[in-house]
Amino acid sequence: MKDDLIAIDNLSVRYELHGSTFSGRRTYVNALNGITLNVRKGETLAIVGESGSGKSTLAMTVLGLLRHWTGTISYNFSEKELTSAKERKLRRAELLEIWRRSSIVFQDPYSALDSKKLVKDIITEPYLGHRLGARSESQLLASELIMQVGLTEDHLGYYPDQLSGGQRQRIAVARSLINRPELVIFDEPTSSLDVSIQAQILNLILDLKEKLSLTYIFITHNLVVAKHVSDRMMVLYLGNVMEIGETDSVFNNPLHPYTKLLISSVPLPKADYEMKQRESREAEVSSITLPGGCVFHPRCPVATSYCGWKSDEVLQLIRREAYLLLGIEELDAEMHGDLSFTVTAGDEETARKLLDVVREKDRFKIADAQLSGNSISFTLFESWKPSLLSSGGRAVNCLLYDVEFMTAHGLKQDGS
Amino acid sequence: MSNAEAQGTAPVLILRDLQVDFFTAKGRAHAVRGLNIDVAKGEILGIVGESGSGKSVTALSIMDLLPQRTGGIVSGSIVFDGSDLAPVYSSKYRVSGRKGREKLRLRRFAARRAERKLAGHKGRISMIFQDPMSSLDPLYQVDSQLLESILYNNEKFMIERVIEKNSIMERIGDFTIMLQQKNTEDIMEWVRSNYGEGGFHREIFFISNMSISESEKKIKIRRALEYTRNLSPQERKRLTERLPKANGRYFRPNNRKRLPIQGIGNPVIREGMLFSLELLEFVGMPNPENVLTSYPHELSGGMKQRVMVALAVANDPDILIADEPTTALDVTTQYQVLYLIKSINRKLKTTVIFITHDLGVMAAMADRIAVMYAGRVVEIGPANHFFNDPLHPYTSGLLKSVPQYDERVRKLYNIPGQVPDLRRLPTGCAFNPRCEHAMNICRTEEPPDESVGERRVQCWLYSEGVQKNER
Repeated sequence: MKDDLIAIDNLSVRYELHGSTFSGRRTYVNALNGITLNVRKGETLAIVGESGSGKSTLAMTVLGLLRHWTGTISYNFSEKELTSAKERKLRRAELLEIWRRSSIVFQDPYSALDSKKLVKDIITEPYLGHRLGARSESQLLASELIMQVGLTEDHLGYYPDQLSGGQRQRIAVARSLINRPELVIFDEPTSSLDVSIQAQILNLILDLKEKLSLTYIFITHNLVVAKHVSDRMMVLYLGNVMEIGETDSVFNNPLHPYTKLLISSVPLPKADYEMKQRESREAEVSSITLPGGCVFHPRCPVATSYCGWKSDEVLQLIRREAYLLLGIEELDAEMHGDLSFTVTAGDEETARKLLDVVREKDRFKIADAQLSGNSISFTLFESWKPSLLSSGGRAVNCLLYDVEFMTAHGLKQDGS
Repeated sequence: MSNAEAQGTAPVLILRDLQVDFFTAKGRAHAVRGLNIDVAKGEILGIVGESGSGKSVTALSIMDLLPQRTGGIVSGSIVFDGSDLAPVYSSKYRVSGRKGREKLRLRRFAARRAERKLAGHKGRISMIFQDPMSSLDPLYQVDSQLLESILYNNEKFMIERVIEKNSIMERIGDFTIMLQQKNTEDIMEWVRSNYGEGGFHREIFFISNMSISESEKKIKIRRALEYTRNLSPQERKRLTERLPKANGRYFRPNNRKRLPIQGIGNPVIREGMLFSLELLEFVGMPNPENVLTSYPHELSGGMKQRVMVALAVANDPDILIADEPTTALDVTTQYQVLYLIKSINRKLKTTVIFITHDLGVMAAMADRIAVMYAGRVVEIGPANHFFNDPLHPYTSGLLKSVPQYDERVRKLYNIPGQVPDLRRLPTGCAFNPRCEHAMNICRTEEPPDESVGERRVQCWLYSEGVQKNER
């Protein structure tokens, strides 16, 4: 599309775990799993999610800093269009083109600036490195930029450790602008700063965007900051897009259960804010063995039977309930694939009791249970993999908003 | 409101004119300058401020964790439970007049003397630190670290528990009678009437306060009793007549997998292990048995912070200091940890001093809020006043600089300038160079403490008889 600066199609990134290369069985961390995303020209796109959701991996892939990934990324810079795909990765010269037209501001201003260099050398380094002009020009630009970020020319002669955190972050912003980028990625730029300094940096970032007509990708885990700066917002969870849409509409009417969980977790600076007890569904999830179906289902408060439950997950739930309600500590089980398993209790009486307990509880997601002697065989529903469905600028990755699924199973779409 | 209750009771901790200095190469940094805070019993006192305002230094000086050589309490008092801790703390470091080995010897004496004086306060103030990874020892499994805290500070309690449980076992023989009581409340009542407060009663109190189902609670109580092996007469005699000394005698570097609880010979360690397990359950740890034998690096950030909370509440402290406990956590985990700390305050009536720079977290937690700036409390008062009607210009500036959730302001307010260098503070009010209401008097004289309703504020704007228009 014409007004998209970056179009990402079905991007997946996985990292090989250290030490697994020669072990016979390689294991991978699935950092991103099929991301499709457009970044429009002149917008601020916020990417939010917990740690480990793949926010920073996405930024690194967009900047061409990772080698191994699948999918397609198209760049539509002015006077230059580039497409990078699994089949044809960019050549060095093309990567340089991307690096010239984009830049990044990192989280920690204390480690992002070289402490052995003067501020003026730090700021002019991208300019000189890309051979955009002579050294004298770079000095002029640097003094112009340092005024723009709200410091004085005196600061050019300082070393970074003579400056405070806020001033350092201003220098990082100045450095990111000297190569006249079209895209700037902010990777949690304010999370290590104080509240009043955060306000200064956010104001600065927004001012500069208006002045220089830039496109921002703003990575943060602070939802209030994301709401303040962004036009559109993307919610990531375990490398999957959960929801994407206009920031205001996502905040006023979050659709995905994960977005709802995130937004309700932010304590608000209001006198009448009260914390409520929540049903905690803590599940051990990792991006090494991703949960099947919807990746969020083990933690989802409104998960249906079709959201991707597997035998071992359900067996764990049954074991726990058997321990809590019936006092059974050991429960033998035999797995028959992902969707069926057999549980053997001590005697027929206990087995019957256990079956009653399981039938009573809705959250076991059982399709069928057969009692024979002292063993029960369970069958689960075939899982549906949700897909990112978009309507009216919003896209949600949840079965509850999949009309086809809902009608097929006679469920009502009530948005909860 | 618990706030109103808190007002009525006597303060549990009183800080008076506390002054903490650090000696740097470029001069003395006045990190805390004349701090006055009364912490009421059972409240959550929030302390906000930018970095460098002295929040953490205050917490560290209460805990006696200030660096020994480069800084210390210069003057003032920290009154806890009727005794002033500040001179005891500083007595350890002020050994004057001698040199070399002699000085070291004197210093060791002083430290021992101080330790004896503080023996009664062991484990009564505890602290949760900001970064759980650097606060837990990476070389020890979680159970060793919990055991260390429990047995070092409160070994007597563990021994009492062992003895008490044994006497219960002996008397009732079969504890099923107790478990036949309808619910945990009744069990608690039964235990209280038969055995009084403390010891086993406190354990059941812990269990009954967990957010789990009734049947689960009963299973836990049964387990708590089952693991108690009958003591041999010799063991019993040794434990009752002569309490063994603590000081890390029980701990060993555990580079091998731990034995299950039943397999541990020493009854006190076994009891401590069981108590650790209960603590982990109390802080809502999923799968506590496995966590007990894990190393810190095997746990996620939220789980590590829960272990820290478990460590901090292990000895049922009177005061719990939480120094930015959720800054390193995700929002969803943050919510759970905050809820946990709040429920500890509400259920166990532990006084909490909560330090943060996140005003949202402050709104969720605090009953009363103290705003610190350059080593002083510039405003202190109930939380709702703080958000609705801030007095000090710095407080209102802080509130305005936070992005709002429901309304969209394109331009955030920001307080001009920066936190002053603590070595070269401006004369008069420390905030005057950044203040938009600064008057002549602000630049020359330090503002006194003024009471405005329930609040106290240090600002000339609220002083009687100061010409307000004089700029």
